[in-house]
Amino acid sequence: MDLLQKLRGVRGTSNTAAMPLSPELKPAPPLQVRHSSGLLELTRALGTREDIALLDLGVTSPTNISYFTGLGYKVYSEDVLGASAASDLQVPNEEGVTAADPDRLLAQSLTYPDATFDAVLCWDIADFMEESLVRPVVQRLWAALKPGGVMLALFHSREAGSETVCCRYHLAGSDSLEVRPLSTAHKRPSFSLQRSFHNRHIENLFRDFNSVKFFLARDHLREVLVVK
Amino acid sequence: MQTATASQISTGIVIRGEISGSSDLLVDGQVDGIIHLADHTLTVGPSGHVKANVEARNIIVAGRVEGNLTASDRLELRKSAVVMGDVSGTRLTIEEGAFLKGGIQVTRNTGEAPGTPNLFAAPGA
Repeated sequence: MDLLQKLRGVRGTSNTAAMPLSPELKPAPPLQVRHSSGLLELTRALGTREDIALLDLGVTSPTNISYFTGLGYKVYSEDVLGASAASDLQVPNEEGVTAADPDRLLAQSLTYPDATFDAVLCWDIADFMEESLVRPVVQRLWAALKPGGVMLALFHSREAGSETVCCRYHLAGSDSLEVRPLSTAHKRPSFSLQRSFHNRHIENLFRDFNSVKFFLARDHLREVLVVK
Repeated sequence: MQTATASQISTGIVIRGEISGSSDLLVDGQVDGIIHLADHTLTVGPSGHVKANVEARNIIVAGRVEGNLTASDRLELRKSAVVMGDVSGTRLTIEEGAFLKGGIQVTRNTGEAPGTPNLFAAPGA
């Protein structure tokens, strides 16, 4: 039994009997749990290090925090995508088009000393973030990583469709992720998919990193592990 | 949430400065400064707003905090909590829906007095 199962109790595995339920008794839709080769590779890469500092860029996840602090990591949580939606970031650019100003965002967010983190969980924020912010945010993350530090990013493929909703990724084990749509309880604006990156775009986005490794999955979600 | 002997800073009250004491404290108003309750519990209620570094035995947050929270024992962020700062404690509970922008460190219970967390101090510092 891994640490996460101990923290949460053993997950039920029995099939629910096909008994009709009244609408008010219907259970919530089952959460999707997906295998994550990228996460497994990331945890392997961190395996031998000491005093590991990890940055989780998603909405605050008690599950992820419990998991990583249980491993002795120092965990930092920052919802940079949520912060990117602040109205005071919107300014006219050189062409007169209103767009989010990366300098304003990075004055308040991701303000870490260089080479702070051994690992960053970037999730799929690049898919939902405004175009003007993506590259500057990746550059800031590159600086915040230690040499040899690793970052896991997820990218939806074109087949995922424009209706793809912004989800939260919670660890469900060392090699699996629970994908949960964000609810209103998260006090966060809704985000829509901004684009679908081609592999070449992804390689270009991470060109400052030493290596870029792709993990393909069946659910239209590509995992990318980059090493500084 | 608090004991019968807890002191209370009610909604609408604003205090600026340093608070230290030997009883539990419930903050439903606003505190700017420093809070030090070595062996006691600080509770920031849903309408509470604390802009302070806090050291206490137990810290329970249901409101808003801008500052570092150091609990020598239990630190609890309720679902309505909004915390911007580093947090540490020997036992940590974070409810789904809580917002945290900051570092999280689970400390060992050494019996030593808590210090302000500095998650990004250089090794050996």
